[in-house]
Amino acid sequence: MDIDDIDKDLEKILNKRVVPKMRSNLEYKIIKESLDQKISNNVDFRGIAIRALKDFINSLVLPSPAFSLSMVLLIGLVLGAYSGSVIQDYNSLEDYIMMGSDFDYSGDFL
Amino acid sequence: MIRVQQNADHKAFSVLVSRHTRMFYAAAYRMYPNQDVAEDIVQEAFLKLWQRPEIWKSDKKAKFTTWFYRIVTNLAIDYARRNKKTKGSDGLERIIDNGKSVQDIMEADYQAIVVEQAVQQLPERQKIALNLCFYEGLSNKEAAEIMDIGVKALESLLMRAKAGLRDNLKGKEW
Repeated sequence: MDIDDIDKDLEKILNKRVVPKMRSNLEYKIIKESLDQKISNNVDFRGIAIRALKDFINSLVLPSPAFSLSMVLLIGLVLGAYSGSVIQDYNSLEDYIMMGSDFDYSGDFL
Repeated sequence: MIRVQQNADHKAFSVLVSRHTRMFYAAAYRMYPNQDVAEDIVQEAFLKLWQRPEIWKSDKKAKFTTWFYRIVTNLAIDYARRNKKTKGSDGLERIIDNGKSVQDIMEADYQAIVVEQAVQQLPERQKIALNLCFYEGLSNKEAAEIMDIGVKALESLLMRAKAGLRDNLKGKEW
């Protein structure tokens, strides 16, 4: 038949077009080739770091009050632990309090 | 894709390749009907992506497949233009070049060859529009995005492609 009324049969005709199967195992070829190739670009560590920092800051902003509070508490505990190092040389709190009166005396008072 | 981009995760890349290779091979073949060339185009596109995963901008809202169609289409266009300069072949010549003898073609599906030839004779942009919208089943919006044109312009290309097909197929014995 003559194809004059293509509008009518267009879809039918276009579907006659075929794509032959791939000749090779292309997926395997690509994966193998990619293993042999080193990635030339470096991962954008700076970008990742900036994104992580932004995410962290955003996470502190409301509406995440529970997280904000827990982070503040955690920071407080860390700072507290560092300031605790002042008394770490003493065996007990009593030693620390008595520190001021603790001195060597090796003679008479008078 | 994000895992490939951020961690250079080869496993994720392999999944991507396994999932999409056939689809993009078909797209490449429709642009340039030669099996070896279509395979080369898809391979080149994927390896480009593996070497430089940052070329995909995940924040631009485009689906990976839509974006990758663009890569494959552009590579096919480049190949066709390069080849045109050196060989000046059309679709049917490529089919014949494709390792098939005249006898093979005689025995092959005549209708498929006629349609292939008619599509390949369309101007480049009309052919791309037809391939993306009809064969790849993309929406007009997605196809327009891939071709970097407006939806109206795409619709106009499709209309002209239809008219061109009518001319190209006129008088053909079916």
